[in-house]
Amino acid sequence: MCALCGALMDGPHWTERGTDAGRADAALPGRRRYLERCYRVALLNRVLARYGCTADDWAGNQYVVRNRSGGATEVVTNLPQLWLALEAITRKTADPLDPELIARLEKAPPVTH
Amino acid sequence: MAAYSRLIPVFVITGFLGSGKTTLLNRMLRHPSLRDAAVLVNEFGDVGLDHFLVEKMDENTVLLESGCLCCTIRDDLKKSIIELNSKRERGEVPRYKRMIVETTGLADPSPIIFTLSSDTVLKHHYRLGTVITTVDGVNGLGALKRHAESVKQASVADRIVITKSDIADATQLARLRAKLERLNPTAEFLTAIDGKVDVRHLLRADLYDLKTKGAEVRRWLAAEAERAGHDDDHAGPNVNRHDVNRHDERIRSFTLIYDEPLDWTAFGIWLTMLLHCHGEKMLRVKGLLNVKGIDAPVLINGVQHVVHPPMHLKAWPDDDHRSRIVFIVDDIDQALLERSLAAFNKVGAAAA
Repeated sequence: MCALCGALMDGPHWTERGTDAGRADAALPGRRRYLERCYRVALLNRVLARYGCTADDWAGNQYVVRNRSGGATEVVTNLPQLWLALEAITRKTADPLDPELIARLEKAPPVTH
Repeated sequence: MAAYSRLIPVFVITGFLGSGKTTLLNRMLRHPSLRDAAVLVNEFGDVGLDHFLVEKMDENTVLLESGCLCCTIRDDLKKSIIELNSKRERGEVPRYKRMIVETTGLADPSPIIFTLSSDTVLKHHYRLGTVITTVDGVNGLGALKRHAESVKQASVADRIVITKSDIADATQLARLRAKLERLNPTAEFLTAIDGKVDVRHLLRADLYDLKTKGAEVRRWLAAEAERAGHDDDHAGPNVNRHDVNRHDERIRSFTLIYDEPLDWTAFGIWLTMLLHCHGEKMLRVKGLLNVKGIDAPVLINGVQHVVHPPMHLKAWPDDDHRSRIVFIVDDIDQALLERSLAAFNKVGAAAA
């Protein structure tokens, strides 16, 4: 548990433990983890743009999801929680098979890192 | 948390009513290699399995009393495992190295799988091993046609044991096998004759057992490739279709193949979003990925909402280094799925 905010920490999600999480239980090391996280947030924001939302990293272990007005904000610790938060904020379904989302991504410029 | 491969594997035995689960379990438990196993069974069955267990398994056995494992006592399953684990830690039961959970015939195995993978305590000690499904060689086709549970049980299986094959008609068996292969191309098939099955083979280590080092992957990739070869005449490039003509079935399997390496971060975002929205319809996702910037192939393995941690293989099992992902889905548009992953992957395409 985070001593400051009381959030329960449940170990890194498989998406954040590198590509060999089946053999190693540790998260990625320091700077690599930070860069990877920045990159993930940039990619996420390409997706979240479809829903008029953005995501930011918070302290390297949580994401802050908010709508454009900033009127609705959720703090989450991993991607499955992020999709739930997105739906709670927008009341839309976070569906990767949504043709409009796919069309947007196909036109979106690639992220670099 | 221990590395995933060091956690205690939990084998799940499922299968429709009367398909021979209990007979199989009885047979397995007599096998010397299962002396180190703890077993959780339901009392729902009508075979005297519990007597055998009381005699042979002693304190390694916990009987669940609530009848249907999935619908009513997911919490019981959790409590039973935690209780057993505590006894194991205190030395009150032998230090078992694996666990077997038998479901009821009408059970959808998914809640068990979900419980094992999502409970905060359990997931630090246990991991899902192999899902073994028994299918009745005589009545299996009928059960698959009439009961959604039966289809679900076969779809999520790693091993399918066709039982009563000694009394079943050969043509009928062939039709059943063909149907199951279309439903679940990655499963390994075993045949039980008069209740006898090659237990050692059945319990052969799963994907995450370091001793086998990917033998399991080679097996299901080979099976997938063989089937893909059969279907090449009927499918377009990079798409292997199965079951498309079965008018009465929504569950089908197909393989998506990507020539370009995949972006791991984009893939994680895509898969978590997909499972968030369509997890119930994604019965199995198994694949070997060529990930950008990584020499080793990355193995992914998911059952509905649950994704096993990804794992590197030491080397590609064959010369085909393209990403290959086998999906078993319930009413999901294959073309849209393929386009969706490609679109997510493209956003990360310029990454260094």
